Amino acid sequence: MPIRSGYLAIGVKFATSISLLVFALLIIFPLIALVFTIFSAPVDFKALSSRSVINPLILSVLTALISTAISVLVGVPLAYVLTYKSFPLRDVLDTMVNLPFVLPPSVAGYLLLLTFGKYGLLGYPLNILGITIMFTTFAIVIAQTFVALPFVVKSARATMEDIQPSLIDAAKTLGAREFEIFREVILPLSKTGVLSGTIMAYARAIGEFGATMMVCGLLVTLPVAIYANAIGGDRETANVLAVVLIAIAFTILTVFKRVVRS
Amino acid sequence: MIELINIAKKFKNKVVLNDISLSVGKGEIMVLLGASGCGKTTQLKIIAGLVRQDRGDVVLNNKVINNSPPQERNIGFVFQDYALFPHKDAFENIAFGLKISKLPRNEVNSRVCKTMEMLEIGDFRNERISRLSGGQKQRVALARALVMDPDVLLLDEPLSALDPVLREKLREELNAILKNTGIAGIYVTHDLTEAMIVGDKIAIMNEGEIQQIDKPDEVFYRPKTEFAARFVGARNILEGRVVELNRDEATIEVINGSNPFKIRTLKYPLFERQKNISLCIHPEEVVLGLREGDNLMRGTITGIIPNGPALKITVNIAGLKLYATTTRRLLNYEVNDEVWVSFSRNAFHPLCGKKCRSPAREIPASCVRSGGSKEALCR
Repeated sequence: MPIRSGYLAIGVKFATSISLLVFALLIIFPLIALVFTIFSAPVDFKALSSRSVINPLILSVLTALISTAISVLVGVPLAYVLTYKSFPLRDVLDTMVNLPFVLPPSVAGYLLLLTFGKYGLLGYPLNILGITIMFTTFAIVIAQTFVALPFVVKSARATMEDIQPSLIDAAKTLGAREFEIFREVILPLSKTGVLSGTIMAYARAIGEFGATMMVCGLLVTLPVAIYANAIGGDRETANVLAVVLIAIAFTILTVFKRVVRS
Repeated sequence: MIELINIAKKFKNKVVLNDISLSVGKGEIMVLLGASGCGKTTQLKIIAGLVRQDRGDVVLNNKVINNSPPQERNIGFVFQDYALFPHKDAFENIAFGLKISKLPRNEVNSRVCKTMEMLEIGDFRNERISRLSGGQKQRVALARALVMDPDVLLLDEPLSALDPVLREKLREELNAILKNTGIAGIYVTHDLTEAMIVGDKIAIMNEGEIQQIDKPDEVFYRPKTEFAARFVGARNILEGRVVELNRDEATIEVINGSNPFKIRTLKYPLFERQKNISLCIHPEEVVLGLREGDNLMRGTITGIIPNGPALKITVNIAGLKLYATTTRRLLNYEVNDEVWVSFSRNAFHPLCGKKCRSPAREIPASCVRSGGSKEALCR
């Protein structure tokens, strides 16, 4: 028995070391690499105020705000419907809501092109009416919403499912109608899920690259700017943009942790 | 007044309620007594409109309310887990329904305060629900239902989550509160003592059927079915055959022991010569150690189990195991002692089979359904 437990202890230590090594390779080393790069070619902080940094930053922050707001406005009712309503094809709708989680962003971008492109399903009739969506700020918002929405739905739904059914029954016997139950019982009790979903949706939206890349045209968001500058050889700007994006991600995660803890 | 008429409900293929009929008048408290899973809570949910019955009618104050949503029934519900809104304080919980009804703020305040005073919870007005004790939560849940001035109050095992001492205190208080309000109450429990204290009538339920509806004493001392008898602890069931019938007396040959023996009982209408019947005798009616009585025989004590101030005695008579209850003070015997066992002839009463069916009921002719789907109104 002691020999067996000794092997087990060695096995656990080995597995722990491997996972720490992988974590270091994937997360810590890239951050160290960024720090090295910044020190080897010092960051010109004046660049922070240059248009090549400020414009993508403003565009990303604003579009992510709008797409997050849309995700919440659409995602919370969708979570409610998926949790409390039974209707034909509910499972199909549920799968479709979660699809962006597993879909490659480039596919998402391509689907948006097929839908809103000049000759797309909706894009063509809109184009006749003189409305262009592709390669505008609105296209970026749509791409970001596409990938951010599932975060709100999933998170809100998880807390909605935890609400005791007897609370809803009690509200009904006290005279509350469906909307009043939603407003007075379900929404306040799923507040944490909605908030954390909103934060994660914003983080996902501001960092969205693949789908945005295919629909943004000449507009440049933060992730697109990093890619363009890194490929184009302007590593100083890429460094600044990367630091800004990491700072935003760090802040968002800190807020998220606080919300979850509360 | 609330009435259930021939209510039936299935979940998937499982029959949960089968042909349930009962009525509870104003100021009356009906207790639904039965083991877990026998359909008690489903019955309450059907009355409240939270679950739709497959068949039968729910009639409130002479009005069929089958199609009324819970919001329109004015039926209060105290849930087993209290179902208090955790994001609201005690006052807000109690005021919830009144605010939804859009009553003026002054009226909401005065009604909530009055109800809180009645239930002695005024001190916890702004307390968060998570900070209240079990007993306080129970009172807040009761106040929340009572403040709406409901026609009927449904209570689903409201004391089951409390410790025994608090439960004993609150069940007496609950009875007084319900009596004061004069509301028709339906109270679900699986605790016989609670049912006896709280209820004006008890409906014993088993597997979705009502076995017997009677006053508490009748249910306790005169259970009508084998299940009811066992549930109230009247475990002495004698299978026998009527061998002799006189004007007011019958002689029964008891055949479920290893040696048949005869007993004399009162004559009941369902007795017929040579008919097989089941008789029940409550353990309290089995008298030990007295050499007198209508039915006197020798038995052997096979077990003595202390049960608080009482003793539960098992005694073997002619191969038949019977249970007796007596106080410690009165028993001077030990296991394996021979003892005189006697029963009075009116201590026995017949059981009427698996279920004592009440006659099938229909909505009174004076009730007319409007258009089939809308509520009917009694004229």
